[in-house]
Amino acid sequence: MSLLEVKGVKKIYKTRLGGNSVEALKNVNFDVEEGEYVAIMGESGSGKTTLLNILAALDKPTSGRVLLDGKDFSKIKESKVAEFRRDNLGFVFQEFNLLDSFSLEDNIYLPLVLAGGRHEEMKQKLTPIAAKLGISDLLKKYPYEVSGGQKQRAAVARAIITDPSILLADEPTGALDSKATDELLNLFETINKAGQTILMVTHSTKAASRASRVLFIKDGEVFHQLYKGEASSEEFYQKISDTLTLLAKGGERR
Amino acid sequence: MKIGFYARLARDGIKKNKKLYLPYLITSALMIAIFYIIFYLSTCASLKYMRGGASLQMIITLGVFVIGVFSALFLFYTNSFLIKRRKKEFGLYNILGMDKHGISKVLFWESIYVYALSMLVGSAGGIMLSKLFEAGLTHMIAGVVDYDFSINFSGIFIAAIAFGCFYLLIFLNAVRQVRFSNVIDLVKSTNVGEKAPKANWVLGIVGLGILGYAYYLAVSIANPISALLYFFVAAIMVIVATYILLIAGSVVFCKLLQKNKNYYYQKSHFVSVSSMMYRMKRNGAGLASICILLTMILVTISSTTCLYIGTESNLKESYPRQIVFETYFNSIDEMYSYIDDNPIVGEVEKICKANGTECKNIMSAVSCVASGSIDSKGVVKIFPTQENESFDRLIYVTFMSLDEYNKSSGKTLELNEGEAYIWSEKSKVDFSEISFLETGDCFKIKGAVDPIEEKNQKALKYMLDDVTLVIDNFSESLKVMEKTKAINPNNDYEMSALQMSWKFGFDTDLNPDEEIGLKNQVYNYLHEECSKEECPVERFTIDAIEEERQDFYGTFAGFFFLGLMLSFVFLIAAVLIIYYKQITEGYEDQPRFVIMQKVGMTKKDIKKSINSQMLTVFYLPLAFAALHMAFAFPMVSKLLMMFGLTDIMLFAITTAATTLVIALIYAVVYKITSSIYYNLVSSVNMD
Ligand SMILES: Nc1ncnc2c1ncn2[C@@H]1O[C@H](COP(=O)(O)OP(=O)(O)OP(=O)(O)O)[C@@H](O)[C@H]1O
Ligand SMILES: [Mg+2]
Repeated sequence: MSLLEVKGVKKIYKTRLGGNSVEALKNVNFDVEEGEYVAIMGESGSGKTTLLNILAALDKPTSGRVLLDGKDFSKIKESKVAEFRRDNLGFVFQEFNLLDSFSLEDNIYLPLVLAGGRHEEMKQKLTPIAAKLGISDLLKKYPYEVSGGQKQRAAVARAIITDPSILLADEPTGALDSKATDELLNLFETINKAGQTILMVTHSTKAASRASRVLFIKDGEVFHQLYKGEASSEEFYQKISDTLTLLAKGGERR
Repeated sequence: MKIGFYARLARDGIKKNKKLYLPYLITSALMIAIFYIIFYLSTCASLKYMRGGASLQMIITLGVFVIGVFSALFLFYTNSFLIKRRKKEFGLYNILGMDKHGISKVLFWESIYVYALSMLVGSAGGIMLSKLFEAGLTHMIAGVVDYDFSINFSGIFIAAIAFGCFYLLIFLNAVRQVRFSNVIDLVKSTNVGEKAPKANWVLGIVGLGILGYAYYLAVSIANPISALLYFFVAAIMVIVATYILLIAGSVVFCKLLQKNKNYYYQKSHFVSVSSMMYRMKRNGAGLASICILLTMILVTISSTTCLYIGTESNLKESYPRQIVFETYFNSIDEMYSYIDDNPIVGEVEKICKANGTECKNIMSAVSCVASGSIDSKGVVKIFPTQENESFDRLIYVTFMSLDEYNKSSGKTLELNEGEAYIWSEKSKVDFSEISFLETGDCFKIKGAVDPIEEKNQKALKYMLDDVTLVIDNFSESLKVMEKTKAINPNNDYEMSALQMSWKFGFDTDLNPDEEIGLKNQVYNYLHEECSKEECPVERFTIDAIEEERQDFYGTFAGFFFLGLMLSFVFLIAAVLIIYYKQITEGYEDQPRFVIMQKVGMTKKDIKKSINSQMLTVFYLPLAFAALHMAFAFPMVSKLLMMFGLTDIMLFAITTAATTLVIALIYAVVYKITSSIYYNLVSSVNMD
């Protein structure tokens, strides 16, 4: 059994007046194995964010099923969804989403506090993670006092401090410069090597080339996928670029 | 571009920002209506010619100014808030190619619209309600209501001019705000990354110190005259302290909470403590304003209500009988011999008979009183010079003969030469002798005795410190003192150390008008009698309670009405501040709660956290206001004594009732605005 199973997911957005509706996802199927590092690519408007929101249980699919560890999302009670998300999923967002009223430390603690942890335990969890992410000296600072890259690392720390089964990231490098992007990608690789499953939506070929598998989405469906296998990042980069070109031309499926 | 374009833009701007502008318009119209009503009442003829109406109108005229100034300040404050929220929109116009001149034009039209609309609604409302208030007030001073409807055009004119000026100033201020900011600032002015506040311990402690001292002042002052002097000092100190404490002190407090890790890192406290701290610096000022307004409301309503309710007993205490006259003498012996066999009582009874009634419930009392300032050793200076005497020590010394005391108390006390018994209703007596500087009289104090209730002097006594000396050989002992007329060379008018008077009062069966007629007859008689060569009466005073009643009711109804009106205005101001606060915070917190939901906060958690936060933030001003009121209580009750109100219990009841009512109203406002806030926060979808 795979860690994450996405089966026939379809999402139709109804516009307010009930007039036209947008079919953001038509029929999405894929699995993610434990310890995998998957990147999702696709043109703007192809439904990536929609898919990720569904995987994050922030949104419900119109039809189809999503299972984590064999557990069906749709079976989770509405009131338990937030709790489920907190305990099983970690998020990194493009715009960091740190709370400006909290110091970085408190931002990272937030999910643990919500889960009702004790302060001593939280601290024990934070210390190694902060060291690994290189933000030990920044913990007392507030978001407006640190750079974008540092903010994103704090956001990663917040995402992984709960030991989530899967880390979801929506264009995590989108707001970063190339140096900060490289640092973040290295970081993702490190935590992935340590066993963390990662699913990342990205526009950046460079970011995608660090993943172990890339899914391409087009017209609301998984159009194609590439495995990195034994290839180097450079070779994989080339393969991804070729696929994207093909995709843009509207090439044949698989 | 045509003028019509800017006007349309302005109109659309107001319509689009309904949530912000509607309350502003309503408030503005209400202020204009109240301004008009108060102006109308202060000049309306039907009140003017009513008995007591003149006192009433004089007090209400004060209100015209107070309302005017307050409206100006408040509209100014509210508008700068509106502009701040709309800067983004103006920035957008600017980027899209409208210059700042154009924006000023939009602002100009906006001001015109708001002014015209609130003027229209306000004066219409004012005109419609003015008659109602007139009837209410007439009823309060027990006059006859007429039902002629009239419009005071000069009132509308003055309101139009005054509020026109306010709006001009407001417009200029808005232009200034837009002019002096660049486009980038305009575009992002609502979401500038704000620093988390640093705790300012020094300021927090200073605030606490000021508040403590103000409270100490309020509680420790024993004397009404100093209470009047220090009331404003204490009030200003409390206002300053409230601002400091709510702005700086609350951050310090939240930091302390944060330091306590086991408290802070709990689901229910984590979010609320940090966001409270985060916004306290900015909104501390708003909270402090709310708190001050609430305190003003509490003080105003409780005291004026108490005065109004207490009018009758106040009147009865000042005028224990329907008709009271008092005659003053030059010496004690003359006074006693005259009273023993005076023609006045008989003649007054005759006058009553002629008016078809009789003297009932007769009261006849003699009093010998010296006043001055006293020092801690018991030296009384009868003619204090203002510069070196503190008001605190002003004192009334009443003399009473031992015979009289023994008779009234049923005791058989004795005294030696130069000795006196003493009692005081409210002053501390800690000296062993009391001496009079100017006359050289000196009495050794043999001991304290139980007071004899002396109702008619009560009001007088509460004003100042008081002692009563019981002495033997009454007129012998006071020989020197009674001869001290004009002993003080600095005084141009005759003044004596000892005031010797005989007071006579009685009730009748007459109706008020007849009673006043009777009083005038008695006055004429007394005037004739006292100007006779052989009559030892130096001067006299006479009052009919019915004549005073109108004035009392006029004055206290005026205070009461004005108190209600002002409190109403303050309340509206407080509600508006609260409303805007909730809206601002609602918009601000939207993204924050979205993030927290993404991180795994449940809707229930959000609701809980909002509740705990709002409850604290919301009831903080109320709690503070109640605390202020509690400490103001002794001071205000002393001020009320200056108006002759001595019934502390009544004041306690009105204070408690007022606090309760205000708390209730506040709770309703809280419920409504917090649901507005909650809707704002939870309205957005999470993506
Ligand atoms: N809340 C919504 N209501 C209606 N339609 C929506 C909503 N959210 C997204 N859509 C539509 O669904 C489609 C997919 O949107 P989505 O945001 O998932 O794209 P994306 O792949 O994330 O694009 P990008 O790369 O630009 O972020 C788009 O056509 C979009 O207009
Ligand atoms: Mg997207």
